[in-house]
Amino acid sequence: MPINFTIDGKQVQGEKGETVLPVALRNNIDVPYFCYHPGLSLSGNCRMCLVRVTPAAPPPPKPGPDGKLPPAPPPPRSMLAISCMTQIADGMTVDTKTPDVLRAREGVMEFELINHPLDCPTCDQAGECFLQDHSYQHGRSHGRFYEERQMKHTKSLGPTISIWGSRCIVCSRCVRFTDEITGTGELCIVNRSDHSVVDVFPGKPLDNALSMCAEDVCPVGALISEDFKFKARVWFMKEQKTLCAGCSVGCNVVAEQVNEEIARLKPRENLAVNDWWMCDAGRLSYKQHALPGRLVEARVDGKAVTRAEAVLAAWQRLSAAGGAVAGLVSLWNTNEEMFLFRRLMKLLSAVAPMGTLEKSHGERKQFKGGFVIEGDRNPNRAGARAILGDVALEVGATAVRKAFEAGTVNALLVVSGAPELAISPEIEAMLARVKTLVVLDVLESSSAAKYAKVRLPATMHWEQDGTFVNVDGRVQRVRPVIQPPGDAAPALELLQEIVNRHPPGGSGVLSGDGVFRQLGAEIEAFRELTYREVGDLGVPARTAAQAVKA
Amino acid sequence: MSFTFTPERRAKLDALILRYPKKQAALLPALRMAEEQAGCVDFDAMEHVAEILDVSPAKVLGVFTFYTHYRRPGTGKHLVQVCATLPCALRGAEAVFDKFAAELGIGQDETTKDGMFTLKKVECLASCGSAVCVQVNDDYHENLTAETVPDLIRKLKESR
Repeated sequence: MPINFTIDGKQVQGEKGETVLPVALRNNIDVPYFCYHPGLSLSGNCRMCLVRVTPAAPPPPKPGPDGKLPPAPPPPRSMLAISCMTQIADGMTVDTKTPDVLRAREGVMEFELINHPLDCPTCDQAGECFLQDHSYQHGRSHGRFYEERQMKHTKSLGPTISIWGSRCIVCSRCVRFTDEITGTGELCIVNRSDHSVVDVFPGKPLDNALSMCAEDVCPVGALISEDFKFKARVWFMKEQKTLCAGCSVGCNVVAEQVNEEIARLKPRENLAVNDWWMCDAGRLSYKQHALPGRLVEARVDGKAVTRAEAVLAAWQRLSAAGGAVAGLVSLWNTNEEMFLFRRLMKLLSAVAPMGTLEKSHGERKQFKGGFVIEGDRNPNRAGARAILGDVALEVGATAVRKAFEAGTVNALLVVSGAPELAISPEIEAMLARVKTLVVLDVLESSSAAKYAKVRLPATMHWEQDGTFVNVDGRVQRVRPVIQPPGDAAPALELLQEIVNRHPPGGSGVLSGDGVFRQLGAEIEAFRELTYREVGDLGVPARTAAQAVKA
Repeated sequence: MSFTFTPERRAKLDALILRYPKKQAALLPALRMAEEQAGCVDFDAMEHVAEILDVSPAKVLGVFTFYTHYRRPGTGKHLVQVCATLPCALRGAEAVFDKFAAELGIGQDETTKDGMFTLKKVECLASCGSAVCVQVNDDYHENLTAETVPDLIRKLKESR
């Protein structure tokens, strides 16, 4: 049974057991807060989310047996209450903007700032700081505190996180995070009252696979990521909503770039995938975009050529093989690229063996709060299953190798967008010996690029549009965060350009969405899907049963 | 140096744990028992308690540092806790504290070189009727004034 009540005169609805704050936020009613976090237990310590609460009026009295009305019950008493901990009830009235509420918040802000160093000019949180925002909206313009301020420790809490204790408002979000989400419990609040500050036990640093989320949950600049420290002012960064490709979970992230360099990743809320979290390895995976040895120019037989020349050479050599062709595509390529890869292979030969290349598996890890790091360190295995089929995915690479060894294949197309693929010695030997090797890849050090006769520089998922299908069969968008280096171009474009060489020839190159719509017309898992529909949070594939569980 | 409860204390703690709905609820008495055994609670003892009660060592550290009444390593033989809350303050607690500081030559949270005295201001000792109150280890000394402080110090020095 939904519970109906009003906030600022607006009729709102909530479920039994909910508290006022999440209902208000859901209805776009702004209530400031520090310690509340939708993914953590309620603490109610910051007092910032004060609102005025008036319970429903009691029912009018009924006449007693003597026909007389008993005395009317007193009208309900309204009170200031913290909205994060106040259970909702039918007929309740909540006011978030009355003068007494605003005055109370102003008082809370004054307390929060008593010991705050106001070092915003050198603080990494500046620009995305709850203290700054709330101080601007709800604070006083001057302080009245003339006593000596408490200074607290500034120190490293672990390999990834440092604390600036004086900035800490002791909201305990980070402590609850390590207690409830990672289950590692490294953090605690030491001392009492205005001496209290977040700390670790000596010799037991904050060191777990999700540790950098502690910096995300910190509403102020107290916990600072070692990776991002002093790197950029946040208002100079441009945001893009994309995915982490570190494993098959496909955590939703915001990638931020300055001057075409990715400065950091932050997890983006998606309750169907990663909640509010992501692992440290994934968070630091943005560094791949700047790996040394990126492919930046097209080459044919070792000679630098233009992209058009390389595209032409790729088509000529593959088609000259007279159908004795095979193809390998990485599980880091998007659905669109896999689809174009399949189209090109079908054009070259109806029976061309197709296989996949992948990164080796890691350890699957589940945390106390339910967050999972999948062992499959490839972002699009489920997409490959939907587009290329089980056979190509499970035994395709072996089939390609056997066909090559049997002499029925002498031309090979390799498409990869992955930084480090696990290439077996047998596949490596084939790459070294095959007569025609056309490669779309990203790193000079990759085995395929090393032996390529025709080599086209491709992009990583940071530099292109596309979709992945995660381990649960959810179709999600990747978006270009930065421009590709040198002449590198998405395989999405390169593969279409090669296909366009097929007689009678063509010149059209569709966008990611264009190819995705074609994919939707042919492959059941993506039926009638568009980028618009996939949106920021993704949608389940149409045939989840087929696409899932790599 | 690592800390382990003596078998008798451990048995006593195990029995005590059973009286609580959750074993972590026995944290405060467990710390007190560690203090009884070693004279103070150090990090080793906190880790040992954490292990027994199945909580993280950080949790124990947080609880331990929240309270002023546990003895930390380096605390002197006599822990002098001067009440600084209102009734005592009205009756001259500040002067009592200053007298202790002057006589002992130490300040807030400091210990004399000979390891005999540690001086602390604490919040209400719940002896307002006999302010100024000073708690030395487990004993209350009441109705103190700056004038009676030297006498108390002398008595403490003489005691074992």
